[in-house]
Amino acid sequence: MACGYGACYGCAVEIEGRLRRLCVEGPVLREAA
Amino acid sequence: VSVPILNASGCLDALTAPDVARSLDAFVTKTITPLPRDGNPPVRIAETEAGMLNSIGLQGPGVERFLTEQLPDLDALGVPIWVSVGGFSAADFRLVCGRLDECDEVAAIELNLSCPNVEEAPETAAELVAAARVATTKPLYAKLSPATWDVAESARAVAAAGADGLSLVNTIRGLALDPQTLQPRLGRAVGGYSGPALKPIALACVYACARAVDLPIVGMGGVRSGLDALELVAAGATAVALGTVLFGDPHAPGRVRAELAAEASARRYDDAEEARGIAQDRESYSVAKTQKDLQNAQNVHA
Repeated sequence: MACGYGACYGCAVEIEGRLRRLCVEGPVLREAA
Repeated sequence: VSVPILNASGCLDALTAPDVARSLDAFVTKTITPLPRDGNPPVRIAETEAGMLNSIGLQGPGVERFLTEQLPDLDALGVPIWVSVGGFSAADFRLVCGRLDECDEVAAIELNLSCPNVEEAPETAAELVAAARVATTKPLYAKLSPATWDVAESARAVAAAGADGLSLVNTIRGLALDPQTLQPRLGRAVGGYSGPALKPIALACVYACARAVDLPIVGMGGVRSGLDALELVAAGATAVALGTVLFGDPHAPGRVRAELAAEASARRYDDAEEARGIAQDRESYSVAKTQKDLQNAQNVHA
């Protein structure tokens, strides 16, 4: 993670085919049941 | 504003950090492409000696969603908005610039002609600028790569194609290996190298292009302090952009602006802008300094 506030898109992880930023959309991301 | 301070494209999200964006003289968006893009697979960031590598790969909403979902909120910030435009062909650049041309909220367009993390368009930088030029009357800044034998030649070519300014420089392609496995640390292996190591490269490019063309230049690459900014101005930049420094220090714009003024003042410039291009000509530098010294001496005796 370079910035921690949504700017760099470096922390993106793939959840259900979508890339999500852990810093602003996480740190915990819910997977669909 | 004497020497405007901007952000480098992709180094600031104005909607998650609006106060930082408001502290700039203009906000430059992350690169907008015709269609939405997921970007490159993770891992996308690797810290290295004297800088970092990124391999984001132009993740973004595409131009239509940008116009409806982001541009109104960006406009509400009250800061001039420059939109960075990317694509994979001249037609892409023409399309996005044509859409932006209709938007009063867009103050200028920066053409990302040099992203190191995606496939390049088959056309030359000048051909891409010419395609964009047809589509818009807005100011067009061509963002060039430092990874070229003669950046001044690129500058002359994009100027002839209708660019109104230059943005110098983009990141330069680099590779980092995991010390244990000796495998690339980034998902796409290579990425764009940025940070302090880029500064001498940026200075050389600005220095060469300021001699080659009579266009405004947004200098960027490894700027961390006001002195770094003043050096870019001395090499020929008319504005300065902050990139990687924003990741570690979101308050850099205000700090660098204050430092730039102090550094200029310490060298007896009334304004940092007076130092523009001073590195180009050692003789004029000493003449200017002598005149200034005489003037100051007269003022003291007056």
